[in-house]
Formats: sequence, C-alpha cells, structure tokens
Amino acid sequence: MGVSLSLSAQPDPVALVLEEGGPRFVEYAGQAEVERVLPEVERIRAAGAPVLFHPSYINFCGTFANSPAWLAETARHIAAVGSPWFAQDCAYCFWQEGHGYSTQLGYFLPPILNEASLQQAIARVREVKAAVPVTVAIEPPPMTFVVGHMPLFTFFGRLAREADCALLLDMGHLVSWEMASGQRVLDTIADLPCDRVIEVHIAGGKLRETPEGPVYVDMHESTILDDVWAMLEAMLPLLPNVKALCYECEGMDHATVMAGLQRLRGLVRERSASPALVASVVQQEPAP
Amino acid sequence: MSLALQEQVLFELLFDRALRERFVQDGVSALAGRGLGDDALRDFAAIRPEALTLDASMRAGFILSQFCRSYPLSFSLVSSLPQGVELLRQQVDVQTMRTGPLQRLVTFGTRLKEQVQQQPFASVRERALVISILDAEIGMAWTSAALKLELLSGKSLPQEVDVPVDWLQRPAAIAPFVSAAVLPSSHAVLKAGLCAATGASLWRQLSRQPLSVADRQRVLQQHDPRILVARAVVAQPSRCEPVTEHRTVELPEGFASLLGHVNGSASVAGILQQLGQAGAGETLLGSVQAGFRQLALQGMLCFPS
Repeated sequence: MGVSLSLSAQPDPVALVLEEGGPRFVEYAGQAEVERVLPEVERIRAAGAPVLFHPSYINFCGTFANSPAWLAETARHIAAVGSPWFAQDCAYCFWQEGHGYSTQLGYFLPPILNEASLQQAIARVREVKAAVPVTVAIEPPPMTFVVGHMPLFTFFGRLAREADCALLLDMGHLVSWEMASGQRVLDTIADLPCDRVIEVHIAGGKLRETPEGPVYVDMHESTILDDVWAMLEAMLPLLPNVKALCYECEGMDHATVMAGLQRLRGLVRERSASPALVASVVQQEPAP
Repeated sequence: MSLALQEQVLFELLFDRALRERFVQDGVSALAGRGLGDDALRDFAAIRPEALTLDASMRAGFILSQFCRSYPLSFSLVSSLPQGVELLRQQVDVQTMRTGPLQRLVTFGTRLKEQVQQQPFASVRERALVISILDAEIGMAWTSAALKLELLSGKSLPQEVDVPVDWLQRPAAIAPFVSAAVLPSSHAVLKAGLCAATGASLWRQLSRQPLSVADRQRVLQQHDPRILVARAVVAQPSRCEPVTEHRTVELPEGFASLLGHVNGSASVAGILQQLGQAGAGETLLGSVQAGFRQLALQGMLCFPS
C-alpha cells in the first residue's frame, strides 16, 4: 500500500512513511533527470520506503517515437532510484514536433482505440522495453472523450499480451472510459489478462455534468468519488497478482491521506484476490 | 497511413476551435475531405461532442498555466483588455501548438503581441507601454529558447570568464543570449502591481478575477522608466530538457541608446570619451561606467580578443 505524491511538496512523503499505518512505498512523477529528484528520493528511501518512478513524458502509443536520449535518461533514472518496475499512462505526451512532458499538451492525450493504434502502441511499448532495465507496466489513461470503438480491456489486454508487458489499472481512469464511451469495463473482462495487473491506482476526481451525461475529470487533489470506490471493490477480487495499491494523493492533507490508506487496507483485506497484497496489509496492522 | 491522418485530425479537433465547433454541430461530416476512410471516420463518431469541448477548454487552461510562468506581466495586462483571458486562449491554437516545443513560447508571445497591438487603449502611450512589457518577456523567452537549442544541439557554450582587467579599453560586444527592453518601471514594481500570485496560481487567479483597467492604468502611470537587460543562463543542464533562468540588470532608461554603440568595435572607454566630449559631467560618466561594469560582471558584455 503506497502513495503517489509530488516530491518537495506537502504532504511530506517522509512524515507519512514514518507514521504508523502510513504508506509502504512512495510513487512520484518528477523529471527525467534523476539528479533533480535524488535528494528527495534518498530521503524517502532512508526512511525505509522504496520508490516507484511514474513519469509523464513517454509516448506509449502513436506514431511519434520516443527520443533515444530521453529513453537513456529514463533507464539511468530507474537504475539510480531502484524502481522495481516502470509504469506510465499509455497516452501521447508529446507530438511530432519534439519529445517532452505531457504538460506541453496540457495533459495526456489518450490513444485512439482501434487496430492500427494498437499496433503502434505495441511498437512503442517494445521500444521502451528495449531501453529500460525493469518490467514495463502500461496504464489506461484518463479519458474525457474516446476516439475509436475497441473496448478498453480488449485494447489493453492485447497490448499487454502482444508487447509482453504488465498492466497498471487506475480505477478513476476506468470510470472515465465508461462515462466517455457508454460501455462497461466488466463486459470485456475476459479480454484482460488479469494476472498481468501488478499495480492499482486510486485517486480523486470530479464529475462535470453535461446535457449528455457526466464527464469524469481526474483530479488527485479532490476526494475519491463513490463510482471510483465501487470500481475498486469490483476489480480487486479479479486481480490475483497485484503487488502494489497506490493512493494518488498529490495536494491532499496528511490526515486525509492516512484515512484513505486505512479505508484501502480494509478493502484489500475484504476483497483482494492477491495473497501478496493482503499479506502486506495484514503485516502492517498493529498487533492486537 | 490512416492512423497518422487520424492523429492529425484529433490534434486539430483539440486545437482548432472552428473545426471543433463544426464537429460539435455536424458530427463526422465536418471531417470530410481530409483523406479519412469510412472506418477512420467512424472512430471519431465515438466522441461525445460536449466532452471534447470540455477537454479542449481544460487542456488550453493547463497550457496557459504553463505559459503564464514566462509571461506573468503580459498575462495580467491582457486580462484587463476587453476580451480578457479569452485573447490568451485564442493564441493556443494549431499554429502555436504545431511550433516546436522550444520555440512555442516565442511563437505564442509574438502572436499575442500582434493581437494586443490591435486592442483599444486609452492612449497611444498606454499601448506602447504594454507592448514594451510584452517585448521584454518575449525577449527573455527568445533567449531562453536559443540557449536550450544550443545546448541540445551539442554545441559547447562559451565559458564564464572573469571581467578582464583592461575591460574599459577593449572593444565590447553584447554577449550571446542577452535581451533588452525598456520598461515603464522597475520589473519588481511592475510585478508587485500587476501580479498578485505567481506561476500557475497567477493564471488561475486571473481567470477568476482579471486585472482591472484602473489597476492597469495606475501601474503604468508610475513613470520611472528602466532598461531591463536579461541574460539567459543554464540553471540545470540536461540532454533532455535543460532548465534556464535569467540574470537581470536594470539601468536608467538613457542607457538604451548607449547599448546601440556596443557593437564589438567600440570600447567602453571610447563611449565614455564621446559622452564627455558631448558635455556629460563626471557624475554622469561615473554612473555610466558603473552601469557598464554591472553588465560586464553579469556576463552581459563580452570582450572578443
């Protein structure tokens, strides 16, 4: 059980790690150059928590290839911080004009959900796998709208199998796709290789009402919506190999983060199909 | 290739407001004539139009919150114009977004300037003052982009050197990555008067509460013109995305005409001599020499051998 935070910002990752019931790992985005984050990462590791590097500058889809320089920097970063795997949203972070962070497009631009796009995504994942020294996990991104009719789990299931990579599922992102597409993720659960899901994310968001129905907007500094809790409760029993459950809580206060972790531990104990995840939660509980 | 075409159409739907409005109105028929086959067109039929509109708006907002870090004074001033922040949003379009990332801020600022020049102001002077502030920020964006381009192209940059002992006598030139613009007041005074917040917070604040015309005019009426000389320097090197910052020196407005003589052939001593012959007193000459020394110490002058 861990948290995703902005380094050098509140809430303080180390204060959370050192508190009883706090996160057992810290995930962060940060910049490609490891020197820019190493002091904060080493603070966290010295407090006893490993870190997971989860940036936003790799194209895991589309026709715009990743720069060798950026991939080399990523590999160097992963090795320096000891991130056990490398995960990021499967989305466009940059366009053909040049490699960069997703902020240059505002935020992630989701992949087109069709066969041609799937083939390019496989190529992009293989391109990254060839460069980094750890398992690559790809994550369906947040989707305000969708282009293409291939069901989400069909696209990502085939991507994971054919690129031979792991998966990370963000519960809010799944809700966003359902609202954007009008479809249900569980309708095609058979297409998802559930044993490849090694990490789960949960985070806050908001619903924007429109005449055609609600649109889910990913907002980590907001509370977790009921739809998202419900998605977690539905998915946990289906995922036998989850190694990490991460509460993305950038911008939330310390007390809210701790309360969120407590609720998540309860859900994991009740519903998770992953023995490793359940064991880690039980291990963290105070002795009776 | 169909996917490449689909990518371009998706990009245009997000950043071409006119196309997006036609799409919201007419659906996929708005995309006809772009070389997309029936299957490719059908993919776009999955888009909820109002969701696309919301996404485009949020996306532009996030991009502007990034741009605001480089154009804080300009953003604040533009928010006080009749079109307000909408004028800023209009510049986040396909033309700006299809500029390379290193040049994008410069393109945005240059296009914004063209629009601001056409806006109504109380006087020609007020328009000129607003443009001078925009020019200062464009200049810094330009030198920052030029420096990053040099770094990423693998070229070695001139090393920082001490000011030579005989700097007064040596021919002087403006150093690379230096910009200069005349401001109506010191940068700090303008910042304090125009920007109640910084960075992304300033964008959020201006979106909710634009600068008033009265506040704009009050700040611009403070008549204490300075020349802002800024030099882009490397803060954090990288082969991916170097970080640059600016060293700045502010000098009296009169220095602007003197900088025109710093062309690699004249020395500072020569410039001072000419000023003396034109009637400048010792106090003024001392002040001018001190100003040039400040520029030299900040690496804004170079002394080619």
